[in-house]
Amino acid sequence: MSKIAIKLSKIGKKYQVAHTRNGSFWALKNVSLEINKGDRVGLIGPNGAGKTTLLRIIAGITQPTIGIVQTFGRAVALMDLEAGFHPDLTGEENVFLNGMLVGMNKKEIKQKFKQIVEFADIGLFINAPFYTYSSGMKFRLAFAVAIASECDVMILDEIFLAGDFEFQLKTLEAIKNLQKKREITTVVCSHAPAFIFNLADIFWGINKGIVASKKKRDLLKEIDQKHKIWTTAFKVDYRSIIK
Amino acid sequence: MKMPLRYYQDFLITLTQKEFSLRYRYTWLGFFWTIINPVLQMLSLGLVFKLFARVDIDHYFIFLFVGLVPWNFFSQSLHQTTPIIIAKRHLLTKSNFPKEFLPLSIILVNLLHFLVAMGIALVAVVMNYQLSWLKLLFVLLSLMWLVGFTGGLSLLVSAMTVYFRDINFIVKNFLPLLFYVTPILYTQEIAPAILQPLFYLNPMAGIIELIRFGLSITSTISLTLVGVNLLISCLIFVLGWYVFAHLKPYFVDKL
Repeated sequence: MSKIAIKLSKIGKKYQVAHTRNGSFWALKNVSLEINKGDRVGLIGPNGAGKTTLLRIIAGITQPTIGIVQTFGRAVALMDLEAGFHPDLTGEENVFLNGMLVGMNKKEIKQKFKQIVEFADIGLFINAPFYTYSSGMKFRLAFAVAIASECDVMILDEIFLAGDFEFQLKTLEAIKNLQKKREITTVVCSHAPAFIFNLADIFWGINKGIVASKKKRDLLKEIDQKHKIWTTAFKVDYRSIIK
Repeated sequence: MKMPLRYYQDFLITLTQKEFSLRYRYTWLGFFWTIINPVLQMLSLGLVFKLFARVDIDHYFIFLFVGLVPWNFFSQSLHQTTPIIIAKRHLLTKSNFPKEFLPLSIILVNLLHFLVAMGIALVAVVMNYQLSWLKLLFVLLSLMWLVGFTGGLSLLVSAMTVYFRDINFIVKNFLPLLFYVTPILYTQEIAPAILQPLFYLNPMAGIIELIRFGLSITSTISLTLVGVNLLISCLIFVLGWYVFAHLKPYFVDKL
């Protein structure tokens, strides 16, 4: 019997469009789902479908308007590059702040500090204020802290592409490693097929706030079709150029 | 998810440390500003009221300094905590942490500054007044009162500012006015009758009166004033925690 890691029962989330009087919408409608411990879930859907709202609810960052959320264990979210960092603090100081926000205590962070800095590999910038960082560096630091946090549930929203090619491979390996060794539960959301298919084997499609299970075969078909449109749109036959 | 108490302690201390180190980052005089500020204030206000208004209070500069230090703690704390939830939105979008710590860490940083300035004030008081040990207990009591009242009010206004951004402007515009209707430049006793009802609604009146009484700067104190102010403070304290706790789950959606 597998244990439940995340349980959503009839979740709905209504948003008022920020700072307007009339303009509310349901970002999520009647979502019920169960994710077991160690599950690898991929979330797919267009912009504005409700992916980020769903992930934020799972992470406990926001509350649903109706319904019940239950998350068992420590959940860590990597959704927004600036989240959990103070722009004026240095990388080192931010490791402590961010580490605490993801649930580590001071002793834990001290023990893992070297490992975090090594993984982020941002050189002298670890002592520079965070606002001087490029997106890539921000991602490196955020990811290094998240990986060190020994979480039970990891929530990843489309931010992988901020890293360079080498770092993207490094993050992919690191997450797969945690999935295999510590059996952490992952909920991944990405438009990049390489990440979705490497990190997930259960797929949920989401559109206009409605979540439905998806078969891997159907998903691949969809992606194949989009890929065709994409390649014809760019019309770059790079193989012939290389030759 | 429930976390051990140790984690919350660490968290509050870390936030306070970061807030402290951020305040004087890239400055030359750093922590010295905490002393320079009230001294300059004391000199300018003191000279104006001594030379032009000709107030008749012994050791007027010390009298003034002892009133200015708690007032500055209160007013600076409110200034800084009112917009704090909006200012720290980048922390709220990371995880669900105890959001009370955002205003409380500011209060703790200001408390540290307050205690340093109060220490200096105490030296000046010891040299010029005859202190009584028993009365010093009132100082201790009023310090706790000051922190509790400022903390409660900060929680209240910081939570409400997320919903009504005007509160930030209201606080910033009313604090300088409130300064003059608080017995800082004068005592409650010598203030005109028209101000008296206002003192009863303003706990800072009772707090500053009690500090001065405790330090033997003044020899009388109105017990009704202290009683009414204390009651109002308790109400604001409870209301602050209550309102903050009830609004905090929705902060993220209102930023």
